[in-house]
Amino acid sequence: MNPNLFSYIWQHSKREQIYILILIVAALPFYWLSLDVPKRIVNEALQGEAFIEGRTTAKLFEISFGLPGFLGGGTLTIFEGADFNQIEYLLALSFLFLFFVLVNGAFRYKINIDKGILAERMLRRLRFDLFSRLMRFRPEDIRQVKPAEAATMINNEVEPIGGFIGDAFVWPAFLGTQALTALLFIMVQSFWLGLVAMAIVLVQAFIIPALRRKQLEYARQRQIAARQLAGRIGEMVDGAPLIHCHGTAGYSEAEVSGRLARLFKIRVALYNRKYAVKYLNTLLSQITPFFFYAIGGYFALTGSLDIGQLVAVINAYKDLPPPVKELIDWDQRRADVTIKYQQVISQFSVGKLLPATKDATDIEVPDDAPLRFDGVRVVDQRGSLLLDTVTTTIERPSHVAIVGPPGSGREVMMRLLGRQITDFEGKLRLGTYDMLSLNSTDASMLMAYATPEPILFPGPLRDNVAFSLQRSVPPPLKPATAEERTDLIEARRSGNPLVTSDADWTDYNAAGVAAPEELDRALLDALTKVDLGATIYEFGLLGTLPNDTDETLLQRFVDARQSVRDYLSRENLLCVIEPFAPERFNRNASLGKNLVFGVAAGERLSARGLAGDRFFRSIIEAEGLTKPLTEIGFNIARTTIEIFAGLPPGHPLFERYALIQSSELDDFAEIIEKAEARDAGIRLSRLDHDRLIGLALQYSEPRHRLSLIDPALEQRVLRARKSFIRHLPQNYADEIEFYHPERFIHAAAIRDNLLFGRVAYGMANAERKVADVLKQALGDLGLIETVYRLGLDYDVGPGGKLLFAPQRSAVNLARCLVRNPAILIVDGGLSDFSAKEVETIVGNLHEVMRGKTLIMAFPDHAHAKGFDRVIEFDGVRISDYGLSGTAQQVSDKALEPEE
Amino acid sequence: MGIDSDCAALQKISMFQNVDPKNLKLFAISGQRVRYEAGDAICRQGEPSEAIYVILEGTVDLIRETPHGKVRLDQVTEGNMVGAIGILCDHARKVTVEAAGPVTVLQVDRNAFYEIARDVPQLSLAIARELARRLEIMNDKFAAYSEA
Repeated sequence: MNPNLFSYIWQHSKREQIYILILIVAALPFYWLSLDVPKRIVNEALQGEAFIEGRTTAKLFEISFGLPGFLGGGTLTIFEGADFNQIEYLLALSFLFLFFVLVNGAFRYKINIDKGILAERMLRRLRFDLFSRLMRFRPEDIRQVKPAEAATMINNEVEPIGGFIGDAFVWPAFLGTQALTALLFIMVQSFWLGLVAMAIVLVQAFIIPALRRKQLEYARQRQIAARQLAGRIGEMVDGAPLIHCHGTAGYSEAEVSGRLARLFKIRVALYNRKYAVKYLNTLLSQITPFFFYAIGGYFALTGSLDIGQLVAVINAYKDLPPPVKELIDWDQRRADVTIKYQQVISQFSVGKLLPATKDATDIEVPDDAPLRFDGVRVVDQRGSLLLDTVTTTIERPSHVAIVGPPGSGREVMMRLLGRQITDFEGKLRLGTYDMLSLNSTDASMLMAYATPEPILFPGPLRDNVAFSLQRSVPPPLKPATAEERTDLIEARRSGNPLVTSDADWTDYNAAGVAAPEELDRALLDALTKVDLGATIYEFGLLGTLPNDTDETLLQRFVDARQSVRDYLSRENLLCVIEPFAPERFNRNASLGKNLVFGVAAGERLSARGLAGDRFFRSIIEAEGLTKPLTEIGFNIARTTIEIFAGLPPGHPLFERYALIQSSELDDFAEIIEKAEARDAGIRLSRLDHDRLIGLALQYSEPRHRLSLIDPALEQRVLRARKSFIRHLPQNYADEIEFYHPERFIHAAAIRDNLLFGRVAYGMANAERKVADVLKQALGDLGLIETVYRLGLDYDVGPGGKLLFAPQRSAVNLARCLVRNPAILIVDGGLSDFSAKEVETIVGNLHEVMRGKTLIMAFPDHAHAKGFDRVIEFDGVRISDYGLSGTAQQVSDKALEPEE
Repeated sequence: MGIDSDCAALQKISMFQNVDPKNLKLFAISGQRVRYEAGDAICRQGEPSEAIYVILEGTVDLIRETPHGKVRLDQVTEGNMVGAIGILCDHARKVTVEAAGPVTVLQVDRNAFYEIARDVPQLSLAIARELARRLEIMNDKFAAYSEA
């Protein structure tokens, strides 16, 4: 990226900048005229200079040009103008003045809007350029980048730069030309007054910035001193027991007092400087009229300046200091922003970048082209050896295990294969291609690298697995609407890609499918290979069918209820199902679901909205449930805070077991504090009550086990349920789907729909047994595929936190498998799996990668079975090349001439 | 029977005595209270280790299944934990755990157990201490046996 901010701006916004500069120049004549008209008002209309020699009318708006001699001389009149009496003349000139004021305002508006859009466009470009550059960092460089810092730089730190970009050229040009026009105008009226104005402007332009520099230095000192004081106070609060214990309070107070004194001095110096600058500024702007009145008045009285000119000069001077002041401010912003830009750019400047091209090139790598390590040696930045010289060839296709303890050369070799290390000695080739010369897209066409740590993005499981397929660049769409057209134009103008992520980027060929509707099957196959099939099925049972699902399919699920009951009955499992029955409290459903006996179909009666709904509140109020529900909510909140407060935000246990989200923890802590301080006269607000009741409504005794529901409460809930159903207003009809044995409940989970009830918690292996029976039933009824597909909709949460560690690792592997790579490199990442799971997965990988190349890393030999070759590491050296013969022979073989 | 009573039961277990109650509650809430009748197998020999079990009420038999029939190796009463070694060493169950009478256990699944162990050092340390204590007892027994 261009290291100079102004060059960067000019390079990418030349046309727009020139356009705005033309507007600025075009505005100048109107500005000049707006300064000139007041003079004419005073001289010609008020003092009557246009009406001398007894004339009662005067001509205005005449447009004529004097012709040069070679054109015959004389005057060319385009418009003869109109005659006005003195009053009309005054009004006409006043309206003319108003017209110029409006024109000037319109120019200013247009210039501001255009430079604002220009700034936003450039900000978009700058952010995109930085992000794009970040994506081109070599793996070893990007590991050094702190994600939060990079995000802050791209998001926040460039914001003021963006704000300045619009002003970079336009603002000094606009203000400068305005100031110069005003100054020139004054000089034209009176040279000496012009000189006075210029002198004062120069003082403002040079002395005030100099004074301000010191002011900024004081401000910086104040900030540092205040920060140090705060830090020291914090330390003293932490050390208060020590201070009391040793009786050193006086000494500590004296120390703080010393710091306060220093802060005081800085602040006083700052105020002195600040108000001195302010005083000088004000003085300069107020003293100038003195010169104008005194000197200009003298000239007027002596006849070398007329009154109109004097008024015009004073009027023009009014417009002079603000642009000068703003120019000074602009210069300060320029200095700040230039430094910021350089800082940001320096963070994004690294020695080497990956190739910029993302498009696949026409490389052709034969299926049997081997991977050759030719004298590959890796040292870290401090010169420590990470991988001793490796010269070997991995034949293709073959299955190779690389074994070595954590921290050994095994990890480095795997990262080399995965192209995660690019800074090494020697050559690493795939056939005749240098691995480093391949761009990411080309490399990804051939190989897939499963990172040791799974990386998941929030969103559906489907998107996470299919992420590896999002590399088929779709053609730019033809814009169908005006908005799409504008989006496309803006993307082009700001150097952004012309295709959005909403387009279909999926590489269906790589997934081995012909059409988008077949993709889910490919994803499920990949997930099954990594032993996640059963989990996806369970997620599917918890999923809901979309609202636009075909009615026939819904009816099949309703019809399946009876079959499922038969299956459960055969397995003696009906006893573990607690059915939804209008007259029974379902202990395994939440209090909210028990109260409404159904599932919310809209926002109003949703888990969040129900507690605040007026009708619902009137029902629970009538049944005397408001207080007990508030108390239940209070107990839930208190226990949750007690148990989960120590966990970091977004921790998986929090997400999985707590009824409160980690982001709400502080709010509930405040509510609890208020509720406990009721004796002190603090009352909970209506919203606080809503939130506590909202918590209670999600509570289920067997699941959350806080002993908050007793049989009496269950009976009251049942009474409230009856009232709720009986009195439900007509306009609530679409807000809820009641549990009904003959209807599909869209908003309820598939499992609830199939069982028409809930599996009882606390029964030995009940959930698993029921899930197995359901699987059998769904398989026989031909509905199992739908459930698996629903499982792909499961939201994995931020960073995949809603999945357990082995599930995250499995998704990471499935993501590589789904694009059927010719070379699969699995860099460990199996430690979260149980031994049996590892055995299954490795077996499946051997099967899937038959006839292709599979390279897997293991910490020991326990699972390195079934491989054609096992390379073993001892520290940074290969201790066993896994070939018959010596390492030297291997080396010789590797160094044979290439094809 | 809720979290509080589970927590109280856990506090009675020697290895958890020094663990902060809020961490015990976290442990309890991550698990499920499950009831077994006499003769029910809580886990079977040879099956993958999927959970640990804290016996809250009742007694369980540790049974080795041999070609010649079942051999009862030991009996574990309430206030004790079974299944931790299988989870930590990642091997299949070495014995069958069977309910000797009505039994209630706190069952914490493998994945949840690992996440707690990873993020609540106090609990993992307590479990490590308990396992070390058992090893020490075994060593003492072995030493006594050798000397005899």
